[in-house]
Amino acid sequence: MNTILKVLIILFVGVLVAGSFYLAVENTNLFSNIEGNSMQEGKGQRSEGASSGRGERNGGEHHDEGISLSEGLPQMGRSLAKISGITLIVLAIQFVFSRLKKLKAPKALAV
Amino acid sequence: MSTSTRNNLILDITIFAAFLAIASPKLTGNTIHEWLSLALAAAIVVHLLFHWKWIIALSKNFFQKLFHLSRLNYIVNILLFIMMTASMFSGLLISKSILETLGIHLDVGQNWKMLHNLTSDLSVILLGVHFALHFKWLLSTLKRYLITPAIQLFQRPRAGALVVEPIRIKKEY
Repeated sequence: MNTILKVLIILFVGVLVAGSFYLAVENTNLFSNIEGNSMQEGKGQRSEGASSGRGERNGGEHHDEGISLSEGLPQMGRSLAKISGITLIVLAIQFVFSRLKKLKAPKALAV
Repeated sequence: MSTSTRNNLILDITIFAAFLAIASPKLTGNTIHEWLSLALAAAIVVHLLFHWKWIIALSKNFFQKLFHLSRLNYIVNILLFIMMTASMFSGLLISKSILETLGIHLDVGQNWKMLHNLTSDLSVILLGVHFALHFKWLLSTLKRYLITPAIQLFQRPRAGALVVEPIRIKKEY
């Protein structure tokens, strides 16, 4: 199959997924509860009230959250720790399953 | 698309590094966070192209061997694709830099930001599972292409070991 066609298929599936999320968010109340909670939580932090969090751009002012090594490196470390932790858990589960399989196998042979 | 294990490894390491950088927007800043995510989307498309045969084969025979590790892998991959697509799409809608560059103005609600955070967190979890399911391949490939060549590079030939040296043979007619 042509590579361009494959790329188009992948993009098409991506558009379908994105479209489904768009319909789910805009036409249902699926995320409205989360929105309500977040508004209550973030009331003290955000000064733009119930606006969309895009007030900076709407006002024409470009607001780029500053780069901070002291905050960014721990954030990266946390992500790495999360991925490592989940990997270890899955590997441990796999190990337990393989052990169980090995324990069952001789019994099956004996029968 | 022609692919090799080495190319796969290089692409996977690049994607992982980019993912880590994207997962820490405070380190990169918002602009790099957004543009790097766009680049990551392209890299993921290439990653999928590299594994196209596997995807098609498993899609055709998914129900034949239902309780197999490859099926779990397939489901995890689909979920990861969905979460990353949702994360990138919601990120694009709330982006400050990309849409501004394109001259597009959208008024979207705070719920998109929430969706972005939720799907990003789920992507991190699913990436951990994806990583664990390919751990053996990753370990053996890293050993083959990185660890063993690095060891050989610093290894001195043993004293008394046979060394092959080229010699010139004169032809006499």
